Amino acid sequence: MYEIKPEEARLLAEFWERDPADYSLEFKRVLNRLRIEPLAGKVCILSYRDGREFALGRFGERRGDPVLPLDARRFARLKDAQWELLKLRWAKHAGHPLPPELAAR
Amino acid sequence: MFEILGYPDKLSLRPGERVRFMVSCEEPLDYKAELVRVQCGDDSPAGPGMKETVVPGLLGQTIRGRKQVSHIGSYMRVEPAPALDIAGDMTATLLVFPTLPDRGRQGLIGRWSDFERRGWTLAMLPDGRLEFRVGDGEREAAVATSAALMAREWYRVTARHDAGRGTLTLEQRPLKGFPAGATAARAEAPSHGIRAATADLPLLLAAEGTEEPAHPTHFFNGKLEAPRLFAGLAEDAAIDAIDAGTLAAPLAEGLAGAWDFGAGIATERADDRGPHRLHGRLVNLPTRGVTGAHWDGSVMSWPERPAHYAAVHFHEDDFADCGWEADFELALPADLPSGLYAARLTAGALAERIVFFVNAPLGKAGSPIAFLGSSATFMAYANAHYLTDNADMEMKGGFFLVLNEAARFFNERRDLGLSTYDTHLDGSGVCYSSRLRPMQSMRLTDRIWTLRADTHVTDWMSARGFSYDLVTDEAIQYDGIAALAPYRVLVTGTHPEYWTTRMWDVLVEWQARGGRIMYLGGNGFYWRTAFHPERNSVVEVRRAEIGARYWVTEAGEDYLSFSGEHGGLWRRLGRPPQGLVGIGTIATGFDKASYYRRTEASRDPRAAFIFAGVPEEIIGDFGALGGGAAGQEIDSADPRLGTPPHALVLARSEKHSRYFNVVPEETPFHHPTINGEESEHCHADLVFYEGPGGGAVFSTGSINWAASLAHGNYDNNVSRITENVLRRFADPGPFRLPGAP
Repeated sequence: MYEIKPEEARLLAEFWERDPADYSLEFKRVLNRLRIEPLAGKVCILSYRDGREFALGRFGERRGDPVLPLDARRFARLKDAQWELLKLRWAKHAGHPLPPELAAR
Repeated sequence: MFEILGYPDKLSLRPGERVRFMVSCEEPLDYKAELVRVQCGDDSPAGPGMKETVVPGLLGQTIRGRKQVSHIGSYMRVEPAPALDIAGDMTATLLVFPTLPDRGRQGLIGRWSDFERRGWTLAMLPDGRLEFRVGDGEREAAVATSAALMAREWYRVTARHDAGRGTLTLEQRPLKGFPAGATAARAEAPSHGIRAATADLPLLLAAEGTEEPAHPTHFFNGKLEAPRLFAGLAEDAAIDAIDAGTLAAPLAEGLAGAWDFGAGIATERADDRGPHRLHGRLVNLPTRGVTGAHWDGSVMSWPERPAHYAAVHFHEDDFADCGWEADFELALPADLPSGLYAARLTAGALAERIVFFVNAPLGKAGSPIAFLGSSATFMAYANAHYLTDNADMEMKGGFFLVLNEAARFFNERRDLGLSTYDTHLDGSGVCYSSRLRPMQSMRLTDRIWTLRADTHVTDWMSARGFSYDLVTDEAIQYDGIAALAPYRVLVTGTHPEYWTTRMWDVLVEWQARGGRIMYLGGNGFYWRTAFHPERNSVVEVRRAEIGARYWVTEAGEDYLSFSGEHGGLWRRLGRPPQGLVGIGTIATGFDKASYYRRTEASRDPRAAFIFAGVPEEIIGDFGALGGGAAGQEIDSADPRLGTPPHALVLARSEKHSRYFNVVPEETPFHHPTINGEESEHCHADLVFYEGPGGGAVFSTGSINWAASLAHGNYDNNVSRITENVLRRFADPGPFRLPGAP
């Protein structure tokens, strides 16, 4: 199974710099890896009011358990919620530090 | 947001009929009910907005709402009968195939009141061992085996109460020696003279009774076959003989009941072959037409040898009907125009719409244009849980999972049933889906999919001045050609995926008469479907052989229990959709949509009417879904599969993403270039051709097409093309086949 390498942290800059359709193959591979995880305890994005507001949420342990907000943060843009989730997934699955300019975003 | 929920007792109506509305409110509240005609249900930021019109003079009353509950979990129920009141020696035996033996207590067979602690019950304990218990309301005796049943192995299970000796015995015998042989067990315990007090208790299979006899609990997950009940002590040899059909006469005399699930597979009846004909009723639609203990792979269809399919697969999450009481009803006026309607329920800021379809009076079209209400598809989707139940959805979608309020609500409300996209708790696929419940697929405030996406078409037709009738596929199913005969053109929604044989046949017959189809969707005409033979509220799907799907039928279970037909893709049944509408499913992808590029064929004089006022080469590089008209699920032409030789592929989509993938039926083996970036086959085709009888077909091959219609206040090339086609298709002038005089 593909393992994310420390130097691939730089690829995350594409999240802000490119349209998703134009992500590099390397970044898409990183994203694919970050999406491979079980449902139990999974952190995802919650949308409210027909996509007018977003938050992060966490799955329960069993099928049918509520998916509850992870914290009190709310995002007006999906992109911002995706970035917060991307950072969480990166920390969980890659374990390598992000470049300071990305970690601060 | 979900404080008010409801459903109608009928989805497909005609003027003059009555419809009842079942409503549940989380807390008691007063709500106002109004009848609205719906034009558009998309009030998302990019959508055309919610557009509905109150129909004055109907409903308008305020109703006190209350909470209503539903009960899931399937079982067999036999009403109390004297022949079942066995006070002395008794034997209960059946074949058991557990699928979740460690899932808490699960009833197998018994007449038991958990509240009164009386009767007898044979059940699986939380650790997978078996227990046989008798009680008289004051005292109880029980025996349990020492080994847990193994999941997905068949067992002969027999319980005996020797009242004379005062013993309870219980035996579990695996039908195969390996690997389940070590789990064979036999146990005996004293019954202390206790006689089972069963008066007035129903016989239940796959569940146990509680203090509320109408709603049992401790549901069994797995298959059960050939339950038998004897007044007497049946010996092992005699029980073996039951399976061989050579039951000895003396034992037959003691037979209280012998239920044969190989009979009446299409129904909810459980036939009793015993002398008392104590037929049972299967509650909450357990799956029938499933392989039994005697299935050996020599046959693959239940109609061919029902004895190999004499099992029923029960699930604790099976569902048939919420069974709520009606809060109000509506008599549709005889002159109510055909269309999409809803009972709009409001209480302060709360609002919920219970949507239903009104066809025109049979044989009386209000317009030459009919819009298809894809009720079978909405039923198949119903309350789909793939977003919350399938760990691979992010991989499939190519984005981090986003759950809206509805997805979260229906995730928690499993009491509202599953869909044919789901698996049961034991991993087996959900074959049946009922509409007698609030259905997410019919909600107008949800993700842009199914009905809500289809309202992009009704909205566009209204905005562009087209009057139309609505024709449901349910009407096509039950009224046949009469449902379509008055119309010149049938406009589909975005995703008419599920079709019965009858519906398909009627559509072909109507086409032969010159009927014209505008297929404005993708992944249509894909899965063979069947309606329940006795209730039109339930459909069945078998995910057989191959196809884009979330589960696969178990070996030997490809045949629909409702109809006896082979299930699966219409393509695999000799009827590819390319033969019906020129195109068929080629790929799916949900990250981003694309556009079409016109082909040389679009300059063909036969297509001139389609492109009048459309100078652009690129079609649909805009839209409310994914930014393009070609997206989500796309179809392409294929002469090998029946696209007519004279069909014009007018435009073809391109530049799809890596998260589009060509469907499995197009890729006999896997390789890394089946994605939208690299596959030469991953494209939607815009197709036109003339048909028989002066008819014609126009197909867009994309679920997203409709979401581009409203772009730029309906002034765009997707809208113009669609309008050009609809005006011509609605015109009585016949189309002529190329080369015809």
